[in-house]
Amino acid sequence: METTEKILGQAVNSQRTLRGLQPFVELDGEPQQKLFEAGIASQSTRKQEAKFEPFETAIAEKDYQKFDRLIKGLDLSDYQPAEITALIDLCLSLDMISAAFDLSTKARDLYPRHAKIESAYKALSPPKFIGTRLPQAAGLEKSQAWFKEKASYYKGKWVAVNNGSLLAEADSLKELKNKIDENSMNPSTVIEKIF
Amino acid sequence: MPKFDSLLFENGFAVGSTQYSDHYPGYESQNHIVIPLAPSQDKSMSIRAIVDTGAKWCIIHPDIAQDWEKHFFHAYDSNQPMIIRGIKFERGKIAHANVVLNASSGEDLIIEARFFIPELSPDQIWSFPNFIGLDGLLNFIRYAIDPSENTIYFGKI
Repeated sequence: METTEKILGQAVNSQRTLRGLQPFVELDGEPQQKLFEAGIASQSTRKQEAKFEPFETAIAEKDYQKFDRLIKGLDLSDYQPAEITALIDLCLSLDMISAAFDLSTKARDLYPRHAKIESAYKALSPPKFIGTRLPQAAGLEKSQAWFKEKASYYKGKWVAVNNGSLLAEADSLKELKNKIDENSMNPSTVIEKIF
Repeated sequence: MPKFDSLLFENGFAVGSTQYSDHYPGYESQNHIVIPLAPSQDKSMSIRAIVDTGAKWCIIHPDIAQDWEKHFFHAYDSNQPMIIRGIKFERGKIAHANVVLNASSGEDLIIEARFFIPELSPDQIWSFPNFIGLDGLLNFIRYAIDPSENTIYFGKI
């Protein structure tokens, strides 16, 4: 089931490392301006660079466990909200979701009224069970079979399939929805872009 | 009725099951587990997505994400470029949506799932399937696969 990287067959770690360094080293040759844009510039950029240096080093060394340890052991009291959200974004760019969530949780205690920290905390909160309900979709097996047998005839198109029958095809999702009857707008209808 | 419905429903492991497809159109050379899901609100049509334990996020076609805009909440804009499926996206947002794993047998399961929604630059074209990722959903439910019947069983933790 581990298909993500197989699909393109590309390793992404090297790019990820460089990307992680960007906000603290240089962006488009205008580091100061970009730092200001990111909201992390202050009177002493050098001091901030020193603050972020251990993280940069860990990324440069591709030592993500070290990076994770640094994040988890971080005393945030010396960090401004914009610096923390920059670190959260950096964690996200490294796919370290739980580290990003831990940061946002700690930061929320420190800056309870900061909108961006609050939105990071909510967005990074783990998925949760909402409930169950009686099945509302019918004929999905037939529609699955349709995709297996017929989808290749509709390459490049958006299609809507209900109970194993093609309801509509179109060049865009918007156009497709315009072609679908209101009564068919329910979970029994499956929409998909065919590649 | 799938072979293990009674067993898994009665012991509380699963609440529902559905048949999965082995293939995603355009990616026939690879085996996948493709299941239907939909936003939990009425009148929402289903999409199909690959169950991918190698993916972090739930990711859907950007046009579908736009169509689902009203279903998303708790959004956070990331200022860092992110690499998804080997492609760099300069911007994107993380958001939650209540989604339903549609059951053919038993009950539908409703989960607040976590999505990454990439923002395409004008020269980028999306050509990837929809994915249900580990940290976006799968790590927060019970599920079991029976390849002999192409059946996936799912339940709450």
